[in-house]
Amino acid sequence: MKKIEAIIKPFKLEEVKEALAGIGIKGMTVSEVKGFGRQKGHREIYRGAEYIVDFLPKVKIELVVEADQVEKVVETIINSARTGKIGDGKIFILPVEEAIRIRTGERGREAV
Amino acid sequence: MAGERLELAPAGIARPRVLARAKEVDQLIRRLYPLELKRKPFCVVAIGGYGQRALCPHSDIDLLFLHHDLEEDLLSRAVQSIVYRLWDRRFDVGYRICTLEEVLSDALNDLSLFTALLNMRLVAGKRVLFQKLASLFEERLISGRRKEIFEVLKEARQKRLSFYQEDAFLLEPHLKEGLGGFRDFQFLLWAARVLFGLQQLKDMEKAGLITAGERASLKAASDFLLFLREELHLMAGRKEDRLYFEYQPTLAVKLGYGLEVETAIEKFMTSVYRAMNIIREGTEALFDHVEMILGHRPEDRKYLAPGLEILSGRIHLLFREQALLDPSYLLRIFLYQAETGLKLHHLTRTFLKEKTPLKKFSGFEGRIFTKLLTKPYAYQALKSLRETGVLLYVLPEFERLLGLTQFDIYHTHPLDEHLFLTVAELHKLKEEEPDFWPFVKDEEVLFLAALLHDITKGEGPGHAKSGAKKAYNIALRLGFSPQQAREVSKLVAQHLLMIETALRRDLTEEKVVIDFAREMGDVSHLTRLYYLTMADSRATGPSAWNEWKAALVKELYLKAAKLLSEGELAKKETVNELLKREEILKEEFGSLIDNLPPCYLLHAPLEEIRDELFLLKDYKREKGAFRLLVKRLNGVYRAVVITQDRPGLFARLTGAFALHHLDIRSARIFTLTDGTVLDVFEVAAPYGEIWWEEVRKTIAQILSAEKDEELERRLKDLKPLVCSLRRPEKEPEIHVQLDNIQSDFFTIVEIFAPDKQGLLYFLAKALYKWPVNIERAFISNRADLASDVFYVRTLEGEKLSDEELPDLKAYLEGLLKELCPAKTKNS
Repeated sequence: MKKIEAIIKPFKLEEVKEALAGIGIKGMTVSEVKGFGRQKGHREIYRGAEYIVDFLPKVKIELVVEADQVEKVVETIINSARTGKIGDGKIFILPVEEAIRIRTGERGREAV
Repeated sequence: MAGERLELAPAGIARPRVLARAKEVDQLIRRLYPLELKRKPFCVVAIGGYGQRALCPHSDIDLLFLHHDLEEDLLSRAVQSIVYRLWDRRFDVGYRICTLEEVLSDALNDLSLFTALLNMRLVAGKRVLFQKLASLFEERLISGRRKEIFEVLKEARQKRLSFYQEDAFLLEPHLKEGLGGFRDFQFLLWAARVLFGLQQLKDMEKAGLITAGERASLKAASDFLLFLREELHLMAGRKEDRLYFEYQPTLAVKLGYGLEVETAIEKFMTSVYRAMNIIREGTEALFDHVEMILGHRPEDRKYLAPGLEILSGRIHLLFREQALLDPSYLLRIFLYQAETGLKLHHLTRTFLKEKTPLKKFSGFEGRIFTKLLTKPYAYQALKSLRETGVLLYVLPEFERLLGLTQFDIYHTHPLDEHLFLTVAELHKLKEEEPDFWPFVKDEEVLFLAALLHDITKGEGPGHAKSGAKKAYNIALRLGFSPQQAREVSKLVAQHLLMIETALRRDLTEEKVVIDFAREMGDVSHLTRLYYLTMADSRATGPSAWNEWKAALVKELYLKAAKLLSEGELAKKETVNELLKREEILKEEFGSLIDNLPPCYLLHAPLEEIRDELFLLKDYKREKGAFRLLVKRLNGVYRAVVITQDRPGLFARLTGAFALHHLDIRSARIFTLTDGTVLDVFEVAAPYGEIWWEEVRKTIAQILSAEKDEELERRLKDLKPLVCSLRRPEKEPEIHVQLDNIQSDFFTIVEIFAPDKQGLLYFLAKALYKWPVNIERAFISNRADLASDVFYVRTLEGEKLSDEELPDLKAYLEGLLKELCPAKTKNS
């Protein structure tokens, strides 16, 4: 099992969600996050006043899938989240030791 | 005034059922009453809910075993014989065994025991003993302690509410402990009992504490809650007092709110909120009344305004009947309330609640209402307006909205409350984010739109659109000018546009922001919508707003504001002109218009654009290498080249013009979504005449060439024209400035250099090699100094990064030094 974490642009969420649903991904965790990487924050100047945005709003999607699904999921996220511009985001893949469904106590594949 | 009409399900049947249940338990206890205690000083007293005879299926049965010096053995046998039997029958029994002295001293420090005793009732055993308890309780615990008890009750209520006031309890109300729940109703009765010795609603009405109407609606509301509690217990199979989501659908359908589940739930929950609201208002009004009595001398009077005074710290209406005849007098009460934050005097409140104004109000008087919305305590005033029913006199449209709920976890408040809170949030935002408030211009427009933005919600899809229409009429009725009414209406129509654009669109796309700014029209409307968007979201619920969303909405605001105040849309007429042109051209050219980049429609007079579009249509149909359109206007020529975009195209075109000694004054580059490009040049010829056929040939040649070498060789060999030969010799001035701040979408490259044949070509080529895309160019030549301004973006369509700027600057300076070598000193 692998955990896939993707940081994407906020306005891409719907598209990514639909694309993932399209390949049969049924669940995911979505959070509103802020941060910066190569795309630094930006300054907005309006009527002489400066408004600095240090951390850019992004959306983080987390999902756990079987190892053989990883490539497909990653490809789907890339295709749907890409704009080609800076700040399109990143994808991280992490190993998952175990998954347990709290309600039933099921483990592993069953629990995901 | 029109009191809340409460159409509640068959609530009346609950009362007999709970009474019957209490009676059944009474009889059971009497049967179980041990014989050996028959003549002993012992009795069983019902307290709490059971004392009140309000027993729902799984309610606790609270008992007090009162005795006088009985042995422990005997007592425990007696208690067991009763309590064990009740347990066997699955009743939850809570009990205490005490003597008179014990219970009285415990109740002194234990509020819940004290309040439970307020409803005490003898079930079985010695009457004399019970009567002694009752009279000692009155004597020692109530008389002389009334004020103290009231303070304790008030504090207890505050403490309870601070917990149950959380948003989650709005969605899934707690019928017992929640705001306006049973406990509140009990507090109302307790306060009346302790302070005035009144036992029931009936007595309170007789004493003039509540009106007949209030009594009726309080009774209906408490019966309804009782009924729900009854059903809830049965459905859950346990003592469940919270109306969780899972129970709402079944209950709604069961109680006859319709068969279509979602609508039924919404109607059902609306009834629940209305009922709880009646109880909450009733309780708060009584508490306020008591506080007034306790805290102020009755003669505390202060002048407030003509016909209004402050009596015991509350706004008091002096000429009651006149308020019914004079709407401006009536509405001014609430205006002063919105200004001062004072509550209404109980006499004023009950009077207004009972009576209906006799005269329709005019626009002039309507403006008093819209004005009060802009005052700091508008939220309190709105609540009073709702409670007294005057709100429905001003805005009958609110009748449908009272307590109206939406079955989702997103909207935590009933609709009327959400609208009030939106007004309240605006007042907070005015303090918290004052920077842009001055641009709001007409506050009343914004506040009225805030109050009306969801006016048709729940009437079917498209509430923004239908609401806009309704809001327009309301605004006129309240005395707004047609212009103001249109502004209100526009805000209502667009109240979701800003948040949707901010969250779902790419704000680094110029087109996104331009399209949005275009919809706004001007900075005032944009700013009003910005504040409305924030207030609406903050009033919706905790998940609707956070710093994260705020950052995106603010980014959109700032970018659009800049376009509207400094950018291409800065002039007020521009936006209207744009919309007009779009409409005209759309009719003529259809979908062709959709592919055009933003602002294309504004770059030239309509006639020019029309000619260009004909050419574009022709190019698209027949393809071919390129199209050239030339027109003469006031001494210069407009040359439009339409072709397929390719790297370095702009540079090559400038090169082609340079070969013919044409001076490029300005250039705009419009790239269509399908990769067709439309380059518009304004060129001048040094000697007036231009042989355009020659130019066309040159362009054809250059565009078809594989490489630029031939073009560059020819440019270098080009001899300066005679008329531009004579120039004084001096050091070349070279300036390169890069600016990332002025525009939200472009990096601006500004270059000053000695004018030179082909300079523009080499600059454009250098930029393309870097690589950046040139989107606009403005060229002006002052005598021998060329000033070229380029709006550039990366190939992906973004501004350059700040880190990249110094390198690009050095690169361009190097190029310019090479092109314009310094003169040797001795010449």
